[in-house]
Amino acid sequence: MSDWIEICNTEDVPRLEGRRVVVRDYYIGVFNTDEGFYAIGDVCPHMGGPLHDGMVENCIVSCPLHMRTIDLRSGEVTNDDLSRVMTFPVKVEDGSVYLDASVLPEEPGEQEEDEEGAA
Amino acid sequence: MSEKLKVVVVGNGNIGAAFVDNLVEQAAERVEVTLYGDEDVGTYDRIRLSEYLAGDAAFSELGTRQEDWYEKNNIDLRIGVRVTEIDSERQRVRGTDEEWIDYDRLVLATGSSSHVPEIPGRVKKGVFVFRTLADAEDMLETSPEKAVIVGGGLLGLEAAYGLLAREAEVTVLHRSGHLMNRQLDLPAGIMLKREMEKMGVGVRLNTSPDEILGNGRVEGLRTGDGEELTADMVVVCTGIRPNVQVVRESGIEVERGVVVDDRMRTSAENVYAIGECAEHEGVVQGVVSPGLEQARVVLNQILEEDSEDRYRASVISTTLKVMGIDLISAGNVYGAETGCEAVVSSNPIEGRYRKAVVRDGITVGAVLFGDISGGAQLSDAVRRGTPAEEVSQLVLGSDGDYKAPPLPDDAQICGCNGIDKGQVVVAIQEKGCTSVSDVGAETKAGTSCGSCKPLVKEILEEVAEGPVEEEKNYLCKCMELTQPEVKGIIREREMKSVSELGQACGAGKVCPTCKPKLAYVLEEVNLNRQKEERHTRLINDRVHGNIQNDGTFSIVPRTRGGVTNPDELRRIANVAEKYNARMVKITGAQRLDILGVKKEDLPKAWADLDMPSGHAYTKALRQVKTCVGTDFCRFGVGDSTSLGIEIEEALENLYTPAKVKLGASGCPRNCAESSVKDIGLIAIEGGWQIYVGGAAGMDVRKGDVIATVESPEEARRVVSAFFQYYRENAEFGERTYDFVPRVGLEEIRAEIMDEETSDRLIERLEKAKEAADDPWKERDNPMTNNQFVGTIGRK
Repeated sequence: MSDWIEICNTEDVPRLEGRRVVVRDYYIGVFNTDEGFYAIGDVCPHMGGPLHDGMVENCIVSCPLHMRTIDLRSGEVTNDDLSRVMTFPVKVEDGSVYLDASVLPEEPGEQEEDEEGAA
Repeated sequence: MSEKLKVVVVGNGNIGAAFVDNLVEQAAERVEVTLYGDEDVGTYDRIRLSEYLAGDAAFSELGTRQEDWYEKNNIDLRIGVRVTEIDSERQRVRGTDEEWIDYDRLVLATGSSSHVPEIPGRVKKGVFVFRTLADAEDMLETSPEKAVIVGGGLLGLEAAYGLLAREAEVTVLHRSGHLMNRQLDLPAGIMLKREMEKMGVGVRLNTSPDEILGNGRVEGLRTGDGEELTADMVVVCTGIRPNVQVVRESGIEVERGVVVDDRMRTSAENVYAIGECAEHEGVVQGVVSPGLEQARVVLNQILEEDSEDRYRASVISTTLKVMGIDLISAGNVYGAETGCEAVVSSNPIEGRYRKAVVRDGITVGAVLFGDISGGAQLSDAVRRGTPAEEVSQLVLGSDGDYKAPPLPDDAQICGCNGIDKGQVVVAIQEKGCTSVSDVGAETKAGTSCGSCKPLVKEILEEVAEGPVEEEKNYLCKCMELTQPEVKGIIREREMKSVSELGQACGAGKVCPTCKPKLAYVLEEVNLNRQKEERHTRLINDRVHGNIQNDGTFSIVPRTRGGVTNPDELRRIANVAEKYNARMVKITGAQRLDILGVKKEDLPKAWADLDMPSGHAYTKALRQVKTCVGTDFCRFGVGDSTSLGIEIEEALENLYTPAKVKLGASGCPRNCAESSVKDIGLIAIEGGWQIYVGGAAGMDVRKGDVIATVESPEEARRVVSAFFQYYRENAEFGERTYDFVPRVGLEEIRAEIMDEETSDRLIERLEKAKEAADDPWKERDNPMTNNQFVGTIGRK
């Protein structure tokens, strides 16, 4: 069952950039691309870089720390053998961006320790 | 063999090192190697020392090994240890480290030393020999204005070339009637002399030094003809003598060199000698390729008990680059004996000379000067004694459509590493090598002196049956567009933004990687009047701080010239405390780095600091490092602090292809380390020396002196012109230490020292500067929504 949550307004994320939102204590990167809005986990599977600070083009974001590139549609790392990044369905209605949080547990607490330090 | 064979190698020069290389490659498990080298450094390629002297190559480029290479290969390397005793009875040696080492096989590769004849005054300060790295470094320390080279052989001309590149006025003294008389015949020697004189090198033939003049220090040299030459440096390159003293004392037979047979065995059992210390049939070799052949023979003797491999004193063929001129010399170059004839093609106007010497109908020698096409085939013909008919076209036919026939598989390609054509072909066909550098990585061909690289390329083309594309340096890899191509598009269509560019040619639309590069090029061409699009910038340039591994940022406020004051320091301390900086660090460029500040705190911290950005996070002029110059220092001869700060003010806020570090030192003690900066200024008595292309990071390179000027104004002008020239011509990401050698110092100097072109460079620089500003002012006017926000939306 879908669990749509309003996360921000469309103008909060400039075109071809990303910003971070926090949903149920999870860091999520929201990206405004020419192909639409995308939301993925905001922690690079390589060394934990903040993906929302990366460069965006053609549904790809490159991590600002070591340039791992991630496909925003599938969450796959395209230039390294690393685990997939979590992706979330996104919809835009009346200038608001919504995210389907049904895959996230209701209660916080399962978040990894080292994300604390990334704040 | 149950126990490992103990192999001791004495000498870590080109031959000793090559021997050890091949030994561990072929039999690492079977041997235990001890390697002695009496220089204070590990292995390096002596042949390329003149490039180091000229500043064309860094020490790390001279074929050096990684530090752990020896350990990985289980080699007991004894650097800086000279062997002082050989006990061939008990099969052991002892060095200056006093330890006896036993051997099963001993390989002597002690090489040779410069021989300094008894010239009166030869012990004066400023008299050098040119042989080792230490020699080259000593010469660089001196930075002479006028140098006299004694000896116009290969070594002397290499020294001359190196010093010429260091802006010295050079005169070469040579005893014989023409230069390089061992490798060249008279007509080629005359052409070489003329080419050198065109470069501004003085040449004196048929004369020797009579006395080196000066009171304790070199002030000049009087030649045998009575001419007095002014000089502050004399380099003696009159010849080499084998290093055989210790060997002689041990009782092993020595004539001029250590006497060896066809298997390179000396008079003592299990002791071999190779390279310049060995004498075979009365001949001591002075170039590298016979030594490599000898090393191979010894290797085979050691690895197989009954090896049939013998040293055959192969014909010497050398491919050289002397004073920037290509030449090949093989076998008998004079052909003066009766029965000798010569096939000659000569064009003294263009400086080309080609000759093959034929005796009794077969080829016995060749000289190629200025045009070495077909040189590999000719050398091979000399080695084989090919009939004369087959070589005449090789000598004469290079002008027309004539194409030299393909080389046979056993023709030598890389003399330095003993690689033949067959090995190169195997690397291409079986190992899939597709470029010259691939082949080098696979076979070592072309990795020492590099002179065979064109030949390797020819073989690549021969195998591919067509031209081989050199790997291009693409700015946008996805669309295969180079930087000049992108610039052309921007100029032609007067483009103002990365988006326009992307629409026109697709650059930056397939993946995000090249967008910052495109943004730089746009900005540079438009003199900072482009349409700024923040999505084309890396995060560092979107928020003007350096992103750290935990996603926080660092702040480096600009303290120009490294000069600050109590008030600024207090503000820095307050900011560090208020925004919970994880560290405050004094960096190498005299900056204070406040590390670990959150993105959302950046604008507030900048406001509290009220100081301009130090641009430590981006490709731009970094803070200028200065010393206290004449203000305080009792040694200072120039006001480096003021000059450094003025230049910093003139160039700050301008972006560059890669970061630019600048140093200004008030005297040659060089406390600001100016000679290893991208741009360096050093005050000397009566002016300023300007260095470019220095580095002391991942690469270490001493900068080249591009100009010596009299006033700070002129220094500013030269620096500005160079800075703009670099901004316009370097590839994105290319530091000056790669840029300067790639383009060539002379080329750059010609552009930036020419009044008209430098005026235009400075004009463009100033125009770009007008439109540049301190990026930290964005604290009051963010360019994008939520530019400095950590987390947006609902919590």
